[in-house]
Amino acid sequence: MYRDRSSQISIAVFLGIVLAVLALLAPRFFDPANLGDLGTSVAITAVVGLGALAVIATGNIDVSAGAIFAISGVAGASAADAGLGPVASLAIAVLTGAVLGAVNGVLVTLLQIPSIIATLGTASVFSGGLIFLTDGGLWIVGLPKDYTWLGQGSVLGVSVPILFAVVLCVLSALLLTQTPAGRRIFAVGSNAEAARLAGINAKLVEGATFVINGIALGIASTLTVARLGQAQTNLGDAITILAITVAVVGGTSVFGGTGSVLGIVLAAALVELTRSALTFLHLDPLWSESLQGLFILAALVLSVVQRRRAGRRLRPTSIFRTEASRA
Amino acid sequence: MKLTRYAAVLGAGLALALTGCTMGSPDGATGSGGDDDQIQIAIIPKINGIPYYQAVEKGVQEAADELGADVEVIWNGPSTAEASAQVQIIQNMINAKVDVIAVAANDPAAVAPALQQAEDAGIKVMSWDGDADVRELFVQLIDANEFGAALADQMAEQVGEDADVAVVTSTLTAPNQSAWLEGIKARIAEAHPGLNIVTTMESGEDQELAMNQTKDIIRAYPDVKGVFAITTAALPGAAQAVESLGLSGEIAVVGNSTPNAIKQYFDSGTLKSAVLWNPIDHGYLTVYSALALAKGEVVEGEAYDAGRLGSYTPQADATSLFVMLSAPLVFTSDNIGDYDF
Amino acid sequence: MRKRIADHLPTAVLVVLLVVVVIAMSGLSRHFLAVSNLLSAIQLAAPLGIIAIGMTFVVLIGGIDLSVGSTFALSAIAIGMLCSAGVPLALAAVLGLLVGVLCGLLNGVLVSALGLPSIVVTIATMAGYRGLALAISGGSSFPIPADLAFLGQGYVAGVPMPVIILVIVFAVAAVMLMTTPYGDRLYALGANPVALRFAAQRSRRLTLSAYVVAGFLSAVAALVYGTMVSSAKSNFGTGYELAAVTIVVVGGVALTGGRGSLWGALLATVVIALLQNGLSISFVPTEIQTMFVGGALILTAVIYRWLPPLLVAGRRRDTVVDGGRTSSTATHPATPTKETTQ
Repeated sequence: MYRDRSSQISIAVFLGIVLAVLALLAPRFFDPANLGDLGTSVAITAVVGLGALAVIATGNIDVSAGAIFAISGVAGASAADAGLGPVASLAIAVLTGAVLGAVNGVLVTLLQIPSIIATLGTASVFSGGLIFLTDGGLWIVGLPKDYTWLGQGSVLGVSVPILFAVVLCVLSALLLTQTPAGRRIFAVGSNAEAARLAGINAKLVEGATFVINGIALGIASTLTVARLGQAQTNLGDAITILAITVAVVGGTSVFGGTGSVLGIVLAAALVELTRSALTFLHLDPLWSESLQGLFILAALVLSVVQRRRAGRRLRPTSIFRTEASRA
Repeated sequence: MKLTRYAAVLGAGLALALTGCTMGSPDGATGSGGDDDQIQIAIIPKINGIPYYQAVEKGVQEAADELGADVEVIWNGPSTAEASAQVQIIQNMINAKVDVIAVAANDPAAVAPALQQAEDAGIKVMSWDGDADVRELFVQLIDANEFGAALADQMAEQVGEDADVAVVTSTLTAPNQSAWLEGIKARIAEAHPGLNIVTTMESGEDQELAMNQTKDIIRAYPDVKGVFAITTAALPGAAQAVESLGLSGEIAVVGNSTPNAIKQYFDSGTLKSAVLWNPIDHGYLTVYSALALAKGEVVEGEAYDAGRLGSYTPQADATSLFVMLSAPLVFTSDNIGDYDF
Repeated sequence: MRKRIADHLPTAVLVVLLVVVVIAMSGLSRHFLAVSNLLSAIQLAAPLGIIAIGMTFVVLIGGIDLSVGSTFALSAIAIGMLCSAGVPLALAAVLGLLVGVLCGLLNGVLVSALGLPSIVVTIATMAGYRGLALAISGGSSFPIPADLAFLGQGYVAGVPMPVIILVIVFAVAAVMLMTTPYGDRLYALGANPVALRFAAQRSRRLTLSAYVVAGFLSAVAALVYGTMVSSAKSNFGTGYELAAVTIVVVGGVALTGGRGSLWGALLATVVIALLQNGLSISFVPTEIQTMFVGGALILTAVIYRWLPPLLVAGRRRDTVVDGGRTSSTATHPATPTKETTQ
């Protein structure tokens, strides 16, 4: 495995700066209730980021994340609305996400379409399909309390989504660093050709990461819908960009082969923090989008500068796999 | 190139096969060559696939069913709430030679050149929900000033005459939103000068974002006593935020949304009142108005038939003529259960 | 042999697609084949087509520019606000184009000088540029004066101006890419970035130029579009970046860089424009249209991936049969159709 400390350090530094500014100018930010709430948002974003980490670590990308998020969220909510209970509803959402992820996986591994093209296509097909199947859009309201507990409840003072995220993060970290499966993911991402020669079934690994991403999105969308108490078909609009942003800012190299769960968590924190901070610092909301872009850019530049200083060269290949390594 | 020649032959063969398949499909395709007596009305919402417009479409479908074979109603909306996508649809409808184009414009100025082209081609043009600069009739949802005033009054009722409030809107680029916001501000200036709007946030159509923003606002501005959530997706999101913070009843939430989505918040006491209109009726009225327009029955001061809604009489305005769907309806926990949409 | 087929394949495939689309769409609606309809379909697609040409430059060197839609919006806002401020129209237009150049410049500098991955940089600038457009315009719409309207709404010899501008942009870009040394170097950089890295300074400048071109053309598209709708708003071009990538891919330009031609991008623009137009005037619901475009993208990608190996294998088999000589080429291990591993 390939740990990249430099980007983790730079994000941590950034987080520190933002927190310091907040402490000075808006101490109210640190109310326990607000932090708890922020933690829940970070948790859900981190889960999304974990899925993206798996896919990007093998050198692929999934721009259909938003559509998968929406479909699985609506599926789970429909199940809950029909009275199937939280466990079954979560399972259905996860299963839906896994199936959709598998479609992406098949396109990329069996049909060998570059992932950006495949997922761009499936994004259109999935989102169009959702509107078509729900006859113009769905708005599920009044979800049962046992289901919304998944997003709003807490155990021993810690919110349920945070518990989910902690468990998933720990599992992922163990998977990625301690198991052969995890090592294979990074191996395929680093050098698919070499991985293949070493006997790794690169296609299976890549396909699996798309399914993993689908599962993560299914979980995240269930938590989101549960938190809201309602589900609309336009759930996933912002998710695709969010997933890629969190993954990349979190040190997952788009070239594949690097990434860490800690990075994802830090990046999720940074993204949610910037969004919130802008309100707390009483900054004009008109500027929020550009400031966020600026922030991400700064974090990236910092991470690259860090990397350079650490002496690592960025590989000069395209972010899209070359034909040779695909064969 | 030999390859290209083979390709063209292959292409022709595939095309014939494809055409054979598609011609047999019962899709909306069969209506495109409809007989000339049938009036074709193209209804273009702001965006396709949002549950709110699904409700509007229900009303449109109801009217279409009632009017039977004389009228063909085509519902075609863009996949993003952008004027450019609507311009494309308008242009395509012109080329498809429909009789009436009824558009809920994402931007009144941007769609104007295309609508003018439609007029020049002999197609009647009208607007609904979102007005356009070129149109013969505007089926208005609600009067922006009346609506804003109703909201402002409700807020003052709940928070008193001297308080900080905040606004959560969909986007600052949506004309309806800015018009309603102006209406609110005007009413505040006129009757409730003690209300102070501290911030205005955009949540798009994202309910979760509205919820998070409301939570942030409440925490960042501790003096805020009320939140205006003036878009369908934001009101339940804001209400959820207040509820999950345990501030139900302490922080007022005022806005507009569909009854089903907010019923639960009336039950829990988070919402005391909401301002509404009926999107189903809006769609229904739009179709009947379009029909009247096609038949030349839209004349200032003269009533035209609008099915189960009775009759409507167009009034003059700065651009041409308009009708108003209804006065703002105020809902409380007493009557919210009477509605199902 | 394989390279040649792969190079000509996109054009052939697109011609087939064009024929299929035209015949199918005219079967769906009798209004489709009208000249005015076809022209208006391409006119409406012209801004996106211009952006796609710019995107082609970036993709050819193995990068991607997801900020084109935002540059488009920012340039439009610049033009609109300048006009409203009383700046002479021609000057406002030029300054708007300059905004596009600057946006592209920033992207290019971040990618070439700092070596940041283009996908990530342009996601950040995508938010940054559009956010800036929103912030300085306050969300309002700015009118673009009628004097400029001929650019977007005018006709020359019956052909809409936007189509003419698209053709001019294409012609200039095609000349640049296919006949000049600059074009050769651009293709070379895309095909073999490692080798060219040894001439680091030049490769950096080439990379920079590609992004500048993309930014500039986004601004040109903004000028065309803004004059088409006589207004400017910060939400213009939402989703255009992915639409441009779709066009580029359907056009057969390899995302890995170094391969593909502008003809592909142009043909793809026309094919997709006609597909959407045909479906739209046949009153096919929008969500079905979306699915069709997504399906078309996947279909063409599959064709581009699998047709060359199949064709090559076919020809190799011909060589074997000819003259009855058993040639070893039929079982040549380099036959790409076989999955020799797994």
